[in-house]
Formats: sequence, C-alpha cells, structure tokens
Amino acid sequence: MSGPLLQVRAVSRWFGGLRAVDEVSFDLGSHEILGLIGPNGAGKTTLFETISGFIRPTKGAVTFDGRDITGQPPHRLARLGIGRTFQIVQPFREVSVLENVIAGVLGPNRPTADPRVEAMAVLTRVRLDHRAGVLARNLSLPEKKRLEIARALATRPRLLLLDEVMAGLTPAEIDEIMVILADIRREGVALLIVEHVMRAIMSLSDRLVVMANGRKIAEGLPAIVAADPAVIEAYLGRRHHGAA
Amino acid sequence: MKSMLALGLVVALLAAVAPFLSIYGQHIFVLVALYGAVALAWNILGGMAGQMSLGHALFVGAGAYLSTALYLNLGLSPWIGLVLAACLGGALGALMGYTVFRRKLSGVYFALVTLALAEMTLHIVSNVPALGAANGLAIPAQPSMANLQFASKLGYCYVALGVLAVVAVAIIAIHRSRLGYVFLAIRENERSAAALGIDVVQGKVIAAAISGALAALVGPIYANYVLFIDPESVFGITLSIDALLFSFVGGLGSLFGPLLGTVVLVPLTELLRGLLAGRLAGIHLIIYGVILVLVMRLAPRGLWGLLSDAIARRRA
Repeated sequence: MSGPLLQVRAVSRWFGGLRAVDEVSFDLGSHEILGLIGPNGAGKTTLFETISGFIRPTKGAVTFDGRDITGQPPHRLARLGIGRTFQIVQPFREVSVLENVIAGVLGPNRPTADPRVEAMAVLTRVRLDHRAGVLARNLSLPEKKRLEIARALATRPRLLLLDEVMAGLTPAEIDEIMVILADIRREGVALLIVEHVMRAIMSLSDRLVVMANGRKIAEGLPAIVAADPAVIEAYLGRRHHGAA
Repeated sequence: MKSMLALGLVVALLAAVAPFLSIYGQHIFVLVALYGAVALAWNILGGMAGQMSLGHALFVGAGAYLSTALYLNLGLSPWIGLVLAACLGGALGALMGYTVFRRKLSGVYFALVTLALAEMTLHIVSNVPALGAANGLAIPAQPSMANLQFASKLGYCYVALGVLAVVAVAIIAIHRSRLGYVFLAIRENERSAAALGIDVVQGKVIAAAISGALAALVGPIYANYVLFIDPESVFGITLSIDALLFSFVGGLGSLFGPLLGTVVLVPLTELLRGLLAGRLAGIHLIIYGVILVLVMRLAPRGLWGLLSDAIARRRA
C-alpha cells in the first residue's frame, strides 16, 4: 500500500458569501472506515457532494489513488471506483430491486460475466435477496437504505461514500446495517461515513473527522475526538462546556 | 431469445393474414404498421429513456423528403433512400439531443425544443421550391421492387410490416443490453444513474439518435405508399402528437404498449371517420377525445398496464 486512497487537500466550497466548506483536508487509507461528523449545517453533505463529483469545489484538490479527480463528473468517479449512496434514498422506483442492482453492475461499463448473477450476489451481501423481484417503491425504508448500499456496491467500488444510511432506522435495523458495513470493509472497501447515529459511528470508525461551520475542528481516534473540548463545544455550546 | 422467437411468430402470423384482408383492411394494416413503428420509435426516447419529444414528425418528414428528393432528382432507389433516411434521422436525433441535453435541459424544455425544430423545418421546407414548397412532391406511379412501389396494397403491407419488425428487433436488443439499463436508470433517476457510472448526457443523446433513425425509416415507406408528400402531412404537429398519444394510451412504461395503442386507435379513427362522415363534421374528433380522456382516467398505465394487470389477476 503506497499512500492514502483518498486525499482531500484544502477543499473549499462557497455559495455566494457562505463558506459551506472552508479549507478542509484529510486522508483516507485504502482499508479504512472514516467517520465524518458534525452538527447540522457543518458542511458535511457539501463536502461529500464535492468528493463524489456532484458539486465542484471552489478551491482545493481531491486525489484518488494518486490521481487528481478534482471537478470530475460523478459518472467518471464511479468508473474509477468511488461509489456513493444518497441521504434521501433515490431508488429506481418503478423497476424491481434486482433491476436496480443490475443497473449498478452495468453502470461503470466494464466486462461482466453475468450481470444477473452478480447482482443477486450483491443482494445477498446486504440481505435483500429475498426481495429481488419486488418493485423498489414497495420496499420499507430500512430496505430502501440497504438497496442504496447494494446498488453502490454493485459498481465494485474501492471507496464507498455513505450519506446517513442509518438515519430514521430503529436500533435493531442500525445493528443490521453495521454488520453489513463491517463485512464490506473486510472485503477491502474503504468507507467514508457521514452519520448522526453516534453509537454506530463511534464503534465502526477507525478515525473521525469533525466539522463545524464549514471547517475541520478535530481529527483522530473516536475516543480521543469525543473528549476534545472543541468538539463538545461545537455540539453542546460554550456554556455547557464551561459547566462541565 | 424467447422474445425474439415470439416476435418472429407474430410477424409471420401477420404476414400470413395480410393476403386475406380486403383492400380496405390492407390499407388499415399499412397505416397501423407505419404509425406503430413511429410510436415504438418515439417510445425508445420518450418511454424507455423518459425524454418526451413533441417533434418526432421531424424525423419522419426528413426521411420522406430525403428519399423522395433523391429518387425524383437523381433516380436513386428508395431502398438506398431508406438507409440514408435512417442515417439522417440518427444524425438529427443526436444533434437535437446533444444541443439540449448538454445544457442539462430536460423535461418540458426538451419537449419545446423538439416541437420548435419540427415546426421550423415544416416552414423552411414549405418555402424551398426544389422540395416542392408548400405544394409538396408527387411521385409518379411506376410500380417495381426497385422503386419501392407496388401494384397492390399487399406489397406495402409487407414493407410496412418489415419496418415495424426492424423497430421491434431494435427495442428487444436494447432492452436486453447494457443500453436498456442505461435508459432505465436515466428515466428513473438521473442523479442515481450518474452515481452508478452512467454518462447521462451520452445516454440521452444515444436514445435520441436511435429513436430518430428508426422513426425516419417510416418516411420513405409512407411517401411511396401515398405517392405524395407535403410539409403538413409529414412534418406536421398532428403526426408528432399521434406518436405520443398512441404511446400514452398503449402504456408508456412498457416496450410494446405503444403498438397496442396504435392497433386500437388507428382503426378506431378510420372507423369513426367513415361512420360519421357527412353527418356532423368533426364529431369523430370529439368522440376520439372522449375515449382518450377515459383511457387516461381509467388506465393511467395505459392499455398495456390494464392487460398485464388482468393477466396477473387471473394467474393469482
């Protein structure tokens, strides 16, 4: 392994006068799970959209596997090996679960032996194989979240960007997703996770990056970051920190 | 393979039935096959890839005028004209798609651009003397295989059926390939499609090119069937609307629903026109309109949806 898989270098994104993301830098290793956390409005989603190519950064650079990918369109990033999910699930509603995943298998336009078989294998990995024939719009929310993961996995990513895949789920459903994500990492896929479910992100992540007001305010091991006064202040406010 | 086999059987069956139809029946046969081919071609872009066109007459008209002008001026066989028509239709479709989709305009903008382009072409052709201007072009009747003209209507039945079959084969091939999933993904959700590695702009341009090429195939056949074309009949908005309407009534989401819509609506129009002719002028259009409203109200997924629901219920 030579060098990090993903390098984010002083990336900024401004919307008019608002600095949604302000000079954020971090690295992500090729087998790492990196959690990206921060209060609402911290700029996590904007940063996420920038890395996945849906928003162009105003300044800064992103490299993937040593290659400069700054400002590349999403479909090219997907072909390079960056998969992503959407915070608000975006399934192909009017077709079956299996067809959703086949579209993921065929999307990057690389040779595949049997797309149908490959798609079924991916559905098994996220425990959705029993729902293969159902129309995607008829899935429950937790199932839709897993379909979102399956479709991204089907593109055979080396880095998977997950935007709040646990939001709105019950504790039992969250546990299920956590097991799935741990499996995915074991198979050699790096993960960048934006998440508000603290229990999950604390136990899954190897490292955390914390954002507030568009800036990175902390980075490091979960336990250490959680005790960082700047992080506590960002989440709970100055007065509470003073009392603590 | 199964769907190709089924298609082959249906085509063979239709070909076997055609000789036993009355002259009027054969006329309806030709109309249904030609309109059906346009509707199916429209559906590749409008239904499969989800980009509504209001100007498919542009392709039909371009094909009809190209092959007819080449035949009349250079004596070029309409069979070659047919191939050139498809090339022109494909190029026009790609150009139209590229100019609009590259700017991330879709939906209603695309529909309006296609409408404008077809109307523009209609008015340009109406003012070009070399193309007969508003009077149109008449093809002298000289029935021969090389001229794509036939003494009886049966010949036209087979040629029209052939075009319809070509379009159907293309649809099945697309549906089974990666392209089918590219179209599906673009239709269902463009953001998700892009995240899966699909070049959305390229996919739409390809859909427009294929759809345009196949629609253009109908032009030369139509011209040689009627032996006369004028701007209004092949570039007119009526034809563009018909393609869309047959697809809506037949079922947008389905592969062959538009053909079903054509099979129902074309004979119906002809029948109503014949039955009510000379009584109340234009009443057949009112009845036609009422039927359309009823279908859309009662079967929002079209006749194909209605049919497949009924089959599913019987099986259950």
